[in-house]
Amino acid sequence: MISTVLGRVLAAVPVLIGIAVVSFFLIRLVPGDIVNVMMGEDFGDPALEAELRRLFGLDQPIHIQFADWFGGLVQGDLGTSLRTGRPVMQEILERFPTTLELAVAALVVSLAIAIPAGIVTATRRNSSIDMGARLASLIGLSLPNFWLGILLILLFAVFLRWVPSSGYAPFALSWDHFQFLILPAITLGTSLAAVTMRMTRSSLLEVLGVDYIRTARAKGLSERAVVTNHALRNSLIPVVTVIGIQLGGLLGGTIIVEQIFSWPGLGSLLVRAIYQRDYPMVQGLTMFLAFFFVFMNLVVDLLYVYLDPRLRRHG
Amino acid sequence: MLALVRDRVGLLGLTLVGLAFFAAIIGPFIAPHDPTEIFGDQRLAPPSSTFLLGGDELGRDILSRALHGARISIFVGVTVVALAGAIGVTLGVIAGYYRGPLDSLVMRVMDTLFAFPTLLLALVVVAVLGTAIVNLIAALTIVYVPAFARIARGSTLSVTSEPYVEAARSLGVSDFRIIRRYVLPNITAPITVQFTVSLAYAILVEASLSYLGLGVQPPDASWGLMLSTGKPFIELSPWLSIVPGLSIMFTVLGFNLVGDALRDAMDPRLRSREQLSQRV
Repeated sequence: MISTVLGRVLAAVPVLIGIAVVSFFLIRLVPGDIVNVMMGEDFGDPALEAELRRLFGLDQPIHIQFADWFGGLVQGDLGTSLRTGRPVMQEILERFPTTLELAVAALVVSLAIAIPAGIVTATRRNSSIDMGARLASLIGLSLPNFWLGILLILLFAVFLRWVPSSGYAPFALSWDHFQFLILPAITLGTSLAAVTMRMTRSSLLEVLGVDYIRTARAKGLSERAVVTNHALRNSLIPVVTVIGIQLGGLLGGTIIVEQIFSWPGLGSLLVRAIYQRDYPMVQGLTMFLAFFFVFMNLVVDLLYVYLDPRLRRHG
Repeated sequence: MLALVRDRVGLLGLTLVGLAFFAAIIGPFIAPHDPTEIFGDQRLAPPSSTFLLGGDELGRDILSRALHGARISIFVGVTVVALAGAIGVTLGVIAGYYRGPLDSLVMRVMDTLFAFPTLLLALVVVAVLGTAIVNLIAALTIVYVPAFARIARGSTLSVTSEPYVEAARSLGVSDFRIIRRYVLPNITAPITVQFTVSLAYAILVEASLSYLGLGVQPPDASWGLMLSTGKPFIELSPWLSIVPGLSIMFTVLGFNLVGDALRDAMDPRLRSREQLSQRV
């Protein structure tokens, strides 16, 4: 088991290094460079330009720049924001819990919809419920989440006035906080639910057709016991895989959903940094989100080692 | 294709896709107004006989803008999958055919690009290159190359282990000819499915970037941009958001349905097991 875990962790290292390399060179594609961006109206002052270049280490050869930057990175230093002058890592860590809360809430919403819907559609195959849920899942997959967000605002905030249209209140176990979380979480969770439901259904259908399920039925077990005790756990492995793959979409989704609902997380920080051309912040956020994505995939990888004992033996 | 037409779901998908292409090609010619022309008296006007789908926040015809938006969405989507497909399939086939260090290098680069969430990577590339349609296409192409490369490599690996490829090699047939005559024709099925799926998502990501103001720029019409500029007025004029939103949804739904139907038609195992659980 330990060697399996270690193997998965080591396999992620080259990808993490690759992310760092891509993030470093991507920002170097900016027309001109960040010094030109920073100088703005002072562009053309050679002394200031040379000073800024020296300050940011841009007067060094590219491999030295990379080595310096990478050295800082492994110590958790992602540079300094051009706009606020604060360490990028500090700003990211301040906002990360807010984004994480939204992502977790969206995941909970999606699982609350997808798993029961997947079970119902699989156990009542070809019924009208099944057809309706499958059509709904395809529509959910095709809905742009920013449009769904707008529609939810229109219905629940503008017409029904049940919740505010956007905004945020500091975390607390109270309605004052959660009223702002509901619409973004539903918006983000819906498309994830569509994919997860489809996978739960097809995976459960496959498991329900195998011999040990027939044996369980022949023993006289109730259909509920067959599904919950024998079929569901075995059908969850591909579902976990899909959830892992979808986490990237979830992180990408937070960028746009935070923007719609004025949710002050990493997504809105990234969009603001892009508008302000705060490149160290853009670079830091890109790396952080990609690292987090890889980390979550690693967690998912290890989760199915737990769910499927065969993987423990075969690595 | 015939199987696709016979399948009800596939036919529905093809119809939606056909409508989107029709709007993209013919739309601008049949649009009642210039999409950028401002009619002061039609600002936020509800649907009427003059403006069939109403007027936007500046008094432009929403129907004309939606028709032009179709052209941009379809153009960006098709160009992106064509480029990403060409680059990705080339890289994947080369990696899968020659294997060895070249395969490792190509696939590690693809793995790295795959590690970035799609929208994040597209957003950052556009942020770095600047907002222009060409840059938007470049960003989305970079995002979708790895998916094509992975699928092409996997399929190539399986085809090159077939006896007929071994036989061609032993007869001294050139690598280029083997790839052209034996490998490419046998990997088209999964690539075709990937084309439709990527096209659907490319349209969604283009709309997302335009919504964030980093895609198509005003005064050009794009569905994502229309949703973004219409959002502050949803209370007064919901049709500002409904028209472009439905346009995106039905187009993407069409490609998803075609993708699902194609997957079924090309995989007899799935067809026989069940008229597929994954599909409506």
